[in-house]
Amino acid sequence: MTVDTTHRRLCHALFDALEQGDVDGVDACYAPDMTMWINVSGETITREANLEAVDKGRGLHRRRLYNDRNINSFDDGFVVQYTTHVVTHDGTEVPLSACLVAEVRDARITKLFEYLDTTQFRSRARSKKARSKKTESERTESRQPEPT
Amino acid sequence: MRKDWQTIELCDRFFDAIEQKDYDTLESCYAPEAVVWHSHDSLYQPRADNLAMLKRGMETQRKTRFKDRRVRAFEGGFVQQHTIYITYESGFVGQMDVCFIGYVRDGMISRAYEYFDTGQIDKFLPPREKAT
Amino acid sequence: MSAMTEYEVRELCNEFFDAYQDGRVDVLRRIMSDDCIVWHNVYGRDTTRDQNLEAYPDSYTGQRRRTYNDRIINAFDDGFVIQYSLNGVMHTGHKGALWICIVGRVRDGKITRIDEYMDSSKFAAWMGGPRA
Repeated sequence: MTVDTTHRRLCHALFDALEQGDVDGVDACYAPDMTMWINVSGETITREANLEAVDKGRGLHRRRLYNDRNINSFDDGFVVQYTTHVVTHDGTEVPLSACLVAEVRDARITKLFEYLDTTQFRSRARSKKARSKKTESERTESRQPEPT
Repeated sequence: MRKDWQTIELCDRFFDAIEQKDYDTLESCYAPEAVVWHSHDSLYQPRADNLAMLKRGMETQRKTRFKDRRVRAFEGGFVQQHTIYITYESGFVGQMDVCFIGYVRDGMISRAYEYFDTGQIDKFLPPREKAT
Repeated sequence: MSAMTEYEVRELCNEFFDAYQDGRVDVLRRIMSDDCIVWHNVYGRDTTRDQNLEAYPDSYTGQRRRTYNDRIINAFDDGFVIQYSLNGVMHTGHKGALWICIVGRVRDGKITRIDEYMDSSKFAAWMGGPRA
């Protein structure tokens, strides 16, 4: 198996686990000392905090998808450009174009760097209901930075 | 497969040219068909428009620096993470964390994607002058 | 007979182009199925694997070196699409480039069909003139 294949598999394993809310599956992708940086907050969070957010995040939306995965791999990691679709509990669907850079060691992710453009969330929301009032879930999501 | 060092050298040359206000070198880094996608509008900006924008920046902004550059080459391109610092004429220093992905053809950037958080635009653009 | 995974298809695609790059006709013979057909848009006709491999040395006429760069590969269940830059250095020292797209079909770990799309109007520029 080439490094390219290993890293592609790892990327798909991570995204598939996140889609399914499979915390154990996400855990299996991470090295013990893994950290994650998110551009929105500029903060680096620990593996434990990340897994907790994944666990909590399952209830926040009806569904979250990771589509259009365009993966490029290198010796010590990969970069993936993707479209993440968030379907909120009221049916609002929000597609966001995002980018993730991962550092990988021994087929496990040691560092993640996520780049989201938060204005996409506000400008792209396609609501089935009238837009005049924000729903509770939208208010919650606009406050919290989204983990991958 | 192209050697990684050639791709990384292109990346360095591109960003160094912007820092050094070397328009000719910058222009030579873009393939004729180059387009640049930005996360704030998700549109592909044509080569000429992007170059005009960068040229305007060279002429009107005091200084541009790309700090904490981390580059990786992959088959067909590169990804660079950096923080851009722009010193405007007013003295205001704007900053933004950026992820820049360049797809390369024949030693030039053919397609680029720039991801940043427009939600943090207040840290990047100078405050507007208040009307008197 | 089991379907190939996306990863296996990609590895096979890279193996094919690495072999073409390195002149490994033995590898090509192994990874192309016995009934593999190669079609070129430029000639508009099918050739068999053996005809293609027999013509391989001739395809290198005038060229010192060739590399298959900037490989953009998209894989699917039974094949792949690859867009790439073919960079060549001729014996005259002239450097040329062609941009090519190939659609490949695969089955059981082998390539069963290659459809190659090139722009023949670029051939002269690719070869360059005779040494002065």
